[in-house]
Amino acid sequence: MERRGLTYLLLLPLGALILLFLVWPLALVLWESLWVDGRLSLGNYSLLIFRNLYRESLATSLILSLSTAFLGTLLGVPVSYAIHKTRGGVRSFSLALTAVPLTFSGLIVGFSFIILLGTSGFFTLLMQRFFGINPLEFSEFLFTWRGLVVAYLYFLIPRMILTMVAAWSNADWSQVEAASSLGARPATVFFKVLLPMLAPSVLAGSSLLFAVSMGAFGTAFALTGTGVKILPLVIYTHVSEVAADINAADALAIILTTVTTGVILVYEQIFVARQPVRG
Amino acid sequence: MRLSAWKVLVLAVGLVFALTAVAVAFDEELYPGERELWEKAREEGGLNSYDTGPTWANWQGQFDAFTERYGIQINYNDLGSGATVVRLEKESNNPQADTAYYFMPFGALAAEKGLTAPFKPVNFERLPEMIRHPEGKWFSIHKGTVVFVINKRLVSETPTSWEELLDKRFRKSVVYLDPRTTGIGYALTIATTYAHGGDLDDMSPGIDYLAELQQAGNVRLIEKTTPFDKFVKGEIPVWITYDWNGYRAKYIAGLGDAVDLVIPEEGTITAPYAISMVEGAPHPNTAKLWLNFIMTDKGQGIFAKGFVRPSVPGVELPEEVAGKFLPASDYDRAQDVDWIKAQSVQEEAARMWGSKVLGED
Repeated sequence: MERRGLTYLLLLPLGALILLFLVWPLALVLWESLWVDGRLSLGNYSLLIFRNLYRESLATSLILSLSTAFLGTLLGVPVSYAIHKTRGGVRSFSLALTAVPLTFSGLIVGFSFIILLGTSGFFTLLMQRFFGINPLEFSEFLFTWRGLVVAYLYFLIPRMILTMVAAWSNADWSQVEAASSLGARPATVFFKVLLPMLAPSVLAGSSLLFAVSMGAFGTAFALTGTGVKILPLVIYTHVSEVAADINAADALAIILTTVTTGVILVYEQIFVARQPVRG
Repeated sequence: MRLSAWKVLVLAVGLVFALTAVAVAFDEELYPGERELWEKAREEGGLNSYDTGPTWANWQGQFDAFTERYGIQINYNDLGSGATVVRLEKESNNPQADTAYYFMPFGALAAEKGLTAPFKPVNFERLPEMIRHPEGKWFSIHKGTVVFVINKRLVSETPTSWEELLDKRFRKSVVYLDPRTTGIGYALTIATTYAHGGDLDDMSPGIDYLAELQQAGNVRLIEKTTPFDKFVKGEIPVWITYDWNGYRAKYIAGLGDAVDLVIPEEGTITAPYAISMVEGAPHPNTAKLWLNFIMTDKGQGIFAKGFVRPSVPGVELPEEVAGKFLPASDYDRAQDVDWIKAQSVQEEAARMWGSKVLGED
């Protein structure tokens, strides 16, 4: 009992931090979004249904995040397996290299993509030189939501890899060996043993990618103008234009937070709760 | 009173700083009372200047000259005019900024909301009445003309008119700033309006034109802050912006003949920029020192060195820039506008732009 008391005591700073910098600000935002002209109202949220701009930006944000989560998983999982299989210096080197993109701020990532794929970017000029491709047409996609998918993958794939490398290491390979030695075909081993074992980690990884790309701001800010309608940028425009609509921005921020945390919570409910503790 | 060792140390360090500050002192006053104001400002220990981005309108030149003369550091940010007013409003209970700079109508808006303090700087009386608040709650410091800035490495034939920009060969080429959040964006919306026979009572001709440009697929990007670096890097074929950005790219960033400046045939407008002392500024004396400095003939000349035309009439342009401006006959096509009125119709214009150009409703 005494030990438990001590544990809670040690948790206090964290609790205070969460209260002060997460719960309190969020509560303020929620309050501002609900308080319209001196009374409680869902007006700001109903705008989300009635205003094209909000519907579109929510849709684009969802498509963007689903695409990045899907592609990031598709590309990240095989790479993570490859890294898992390496040993020694190669392994630490590739893990270190994987972590590098995570250290850059979004603005830097955005600008580096301009340098590589922009109108006078390195690859763009190569394409022009060797294939006669018009640089204006080639680089145009970079400033659309599809360009954001490419740019986001740069910092999302490493997240997938790091999640999965841990999963591969913790996987119970003796089950795979047992299945094989009992005569199961590789396909059966893959679908019946390996996939169920790894699925929770893969889903955990991809829901993380989804949440991160829903909220990513810096890269989108550096790359695209106000033409691309995604939630973080629409929120930005709302708090910085003359006819600023802070309350609508608050409502959008609440939606954004709900979607991202919702995805992670649902994942945890479905998978983590059922997971046997391994040890 | 007994002095402990660390107090002595603090005093000594303070003394050294004070002496250094004296070392950057000036010989002659730019205006009566400058030295006295400076003495007071030095005790305040800094200045927060909103929206004076260093690559915009030669603010870097002003910062350098100010810090060299007075030994006072300037903290700045680069928000955009609209965002600046919003920020001032959000912070009005606990002001952080000493001075705020914006496209003039935004200054009028800030004054109307009670966010700015009255202050009449040096040369205030020389400003035309149209571009200063009667009590000095804002006043114009420089102006810019809306032009096309062309990167000739990306565009083979320089367009000379708004009409020409609609041509297919400018597909995905035109970049401009968002009228809802930035002064330049709003200024160019007024410019397209005047060029198409509209006025402040009816801005639809200009906004319809921008919608047409959008539908033609010729708009590459609508930016939120000045993409000067992107232009220099070679990302922007046709940039609708202020003249000084073009001159800066051409003569200061060294792009030279690769850059063309065009004042469109149908006409354009010249926009004044304003600055204010913020109501409740934490460093009021420094704010006054800073505002006075940029309004002296010396400060106005620093703008001119960056090809930014001063607001104070009769300030002589430095020789190295005077001959590089486009001919006066081109500038004749740029009209002046009733900027106070422009402020009153701005919200409506911003809404109309959003709905017609981006299809937001």
